[in-house]
Amino acid sequence: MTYIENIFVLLAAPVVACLVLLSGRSRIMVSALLSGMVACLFSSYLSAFFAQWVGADPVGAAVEVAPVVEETLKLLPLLFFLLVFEPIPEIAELVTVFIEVGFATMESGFYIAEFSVSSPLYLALRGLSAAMMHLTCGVIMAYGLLHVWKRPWFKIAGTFGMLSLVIVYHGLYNLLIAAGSSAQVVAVFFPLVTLATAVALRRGRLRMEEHRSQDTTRK
Amino acid sequence: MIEIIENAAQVLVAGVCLVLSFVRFFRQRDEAWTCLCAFYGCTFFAICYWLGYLIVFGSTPRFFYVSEMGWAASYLLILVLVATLDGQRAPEPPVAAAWIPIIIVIPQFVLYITHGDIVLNVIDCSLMAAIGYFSVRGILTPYKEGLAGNRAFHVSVLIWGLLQLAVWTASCFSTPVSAVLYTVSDFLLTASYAGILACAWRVRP
Repeated sequence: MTYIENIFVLLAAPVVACLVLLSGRSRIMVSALLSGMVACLFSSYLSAFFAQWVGADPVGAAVEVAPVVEETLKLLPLLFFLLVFEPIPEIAELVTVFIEVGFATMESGFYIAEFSVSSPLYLALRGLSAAMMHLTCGVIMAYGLLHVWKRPWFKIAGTFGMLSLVIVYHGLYNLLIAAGSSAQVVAVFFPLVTLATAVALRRGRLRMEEHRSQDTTRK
Repeated sequence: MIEIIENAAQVLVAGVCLVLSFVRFFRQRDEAWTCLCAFYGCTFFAICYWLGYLIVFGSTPRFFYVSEMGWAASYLLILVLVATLDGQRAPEPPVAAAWIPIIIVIPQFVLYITHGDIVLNVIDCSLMAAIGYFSVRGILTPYKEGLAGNRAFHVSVLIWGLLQLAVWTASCFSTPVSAVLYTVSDFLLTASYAGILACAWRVRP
């Protein structure tokens, strides 16, 4: 049996070594990656604890307990970063993405250790869709927080709102996976479509802002 | 079956409202539309999850509060919105009638905790009481010229809150009359989501 701590040590060691060599922004990004991995380790402990506490079966734990625990723990390093460093929006967005990537990488490591799946195609699809889902949650969270943190009175309500939004989104993905058969196919494409829409909207927005600034310069 | 239809209708309406509010938010980028967009987002995904669970497992969620977190967040966001719009007017003396929703919510809260979860009902009822308080304040205090749309928005939120209470109350009982009341109030609640958006369109900060 492979313990999750061992997988964590194995995957995190090169990242920690990398931290020593880097500096500046790169170090911040790699730290975010590492914090995502740590969040994943702790969320596996806490999910198991809460599932035991509420008497949930494995499916119930995956669909109802895990989304709440995972998204809350992923938010903590991001909140720390936003509160302590007060970064510019671009850096905050990148940090969120790295936290999500770290989390998804670690989760995939746990998955392969727990379920000995041999089909590379299935693993690629599983890894891609889960990573996409985590990235989508990160994008929603980063985008939302950057907007709601503009006003002090909106911070608490907005943060809770964004957290709840990503929890329910994550829960919906896990629910589709748990449903099996054709719902699983929908689950694979669900985060992909959401992320593609978010990227398209972001590009559209940037283009719109570019046009506006060009018009202003002409005037 | 009727529960699935009710929830599917709510998913549809909340989804359309989410798209429309997102379009408005995308163009304007102000706090009010961020709030409303997040409100519809939380509501839409919470109902989607609830409906999905109902279809897949044939029951409502049993172990943890996933949908409930989405709903609680949506109540908090709409509370922020009504409280902010309330604060954007000229200062007025406190309106005594604004306490009426709080007085209505207290006995309802006692009823709910005898039938359901205490923590969840404390959160939901306190948020609903606060929403009622600010909505009534928003309805009763005078506005400057051109801001009448703000009053309509407060009315729509108050109606939505009352329908929410009606749904919760009807769900406490298991008689045929309460079942009918539940269905009717749930469909009206669905319509009230669209009503809030329609009224919000005319709101001016």
